[in-house]
Amino acid sequence: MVAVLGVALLVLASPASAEVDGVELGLVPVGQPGPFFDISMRPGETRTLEVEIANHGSNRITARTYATDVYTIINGGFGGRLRGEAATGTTLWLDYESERFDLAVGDRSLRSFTVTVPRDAGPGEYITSLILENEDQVAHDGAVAALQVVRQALGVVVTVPGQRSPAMEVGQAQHKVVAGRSVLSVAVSNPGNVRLKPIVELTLRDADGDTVSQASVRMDTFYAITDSTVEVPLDALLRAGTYAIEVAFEDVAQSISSTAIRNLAVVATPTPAPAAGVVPGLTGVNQDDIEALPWPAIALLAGAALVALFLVRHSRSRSRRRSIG
Amino acid sequence: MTNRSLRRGLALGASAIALLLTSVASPALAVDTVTQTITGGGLTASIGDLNFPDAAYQNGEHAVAGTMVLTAADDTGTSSGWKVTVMTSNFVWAGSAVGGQDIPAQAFALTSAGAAVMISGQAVGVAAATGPQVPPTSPVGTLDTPRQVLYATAAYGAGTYSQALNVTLTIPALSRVGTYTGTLTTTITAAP
Repeated sequence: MVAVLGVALLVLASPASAEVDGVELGLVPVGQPGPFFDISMRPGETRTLEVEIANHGSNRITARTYATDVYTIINGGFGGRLRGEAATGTTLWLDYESERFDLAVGDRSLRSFTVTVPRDAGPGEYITSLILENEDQVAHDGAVAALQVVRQALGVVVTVPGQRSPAMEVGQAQHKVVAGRSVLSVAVSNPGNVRLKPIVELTLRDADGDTVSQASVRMDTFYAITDSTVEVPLDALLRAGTYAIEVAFEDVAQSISSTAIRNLAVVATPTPAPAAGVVPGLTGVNQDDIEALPWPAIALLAGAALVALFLVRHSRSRSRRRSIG
Repeated sequence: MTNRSLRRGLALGASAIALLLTSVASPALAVDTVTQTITGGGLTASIGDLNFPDAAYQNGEHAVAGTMVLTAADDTGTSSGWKVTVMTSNFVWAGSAVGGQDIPAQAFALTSAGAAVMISGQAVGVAAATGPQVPPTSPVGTLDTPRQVLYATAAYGAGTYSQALNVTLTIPALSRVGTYTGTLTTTITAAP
């Protein structure tokens, strides 16, 4: 008997799309020259800032705004913690309570909040963020269902003047399989006090020292005092075995560079075949070796060559006998 | 001087002042300025047109491929650039079967991200580091953590754009009959 799994998430039909399209919220800093808050403050200082919240959509909406921690996502870039996750670090410098409110079409309102830098804060770049999102997840029930949160995030960067100490460290390497393809990942951390935008070169070598794959990753923003992962999806599945990854990184603007080598063990795992078709952006893999040769075809060709050789020799020997006779 | 003549004198004086003011004001009136304020809208990104087929029960682990379309819009009028990330929660099971379990978020993966297509506004920049475009390092991977799928640098991405995303859901062996619902979180960001 075949039962059907309603794999819910994933069919948003047009009506649901229209509802999601209706979530058009605006969250902009007031009195700032750029698209986010970027301010310089000294330890112990308090400053009042203002943000504008607006509903640019065509429907009345219940929205929520809150402050949340920022982290660095895979390969760099902004990650903001979800609603309800604990606030830590720089987020605690803000006096910005989570608030739920109704916004009529075209509503705009200003909300002020304060930032207080602790007296013991060291120099460096600190970041937190403000979020504005739909309060109620957009839902679409039926044989299929979907929920969606549409967020707008606004960075709040506070620079405490003083010594700048850029730094980056390389952690362990890992291999995993996603959708039938290998993915290489290397843990990295930014223990310094400034954000980076490094270029990371990865070279994967097999146990014989032969290069199997190479990739260059231009990381997006790698925030100070955060960890991240450099991740490279390959266009094939790596064979089981022991490998070494050379990790070379450089951030020209911050004048740092270094190279590290990490071991990587790849274990054979049964996995679904990769999706058909060419996927742009994947890194090539060079694993052509004796195991990969098409042995049945080679045996067939060798057999045919032997038969041909036998026929040629047989024909020559008959010709020779005739000429002697 | 009588009151009458005093009133007449005052009226004449007032007329003269009014004439003088008019003659001084006239040049200003001739160069009237028209001021039009343009107010900005917001940044928005959401997923729509999500298509996934129903899946038949199987004893073994199996993958189901689907598609979804991201729409990102910058109506701020500032052309300051933006970044969009997508992630999912666990797929929460609901049903009457015995022993049903949620499907973990890492079972849902992005398998490819298409190029941005302009719906309206500024053309898609084809040069490197302009956009809107897919990040130079492929965002392919599991969506239990945010993946940046599209971004525009400053001076680009003023408009509305769509992007096709291919995804796959790996359904664990013996997953019970029922409905599995996940929450997609799409975030558009203005930050360094």
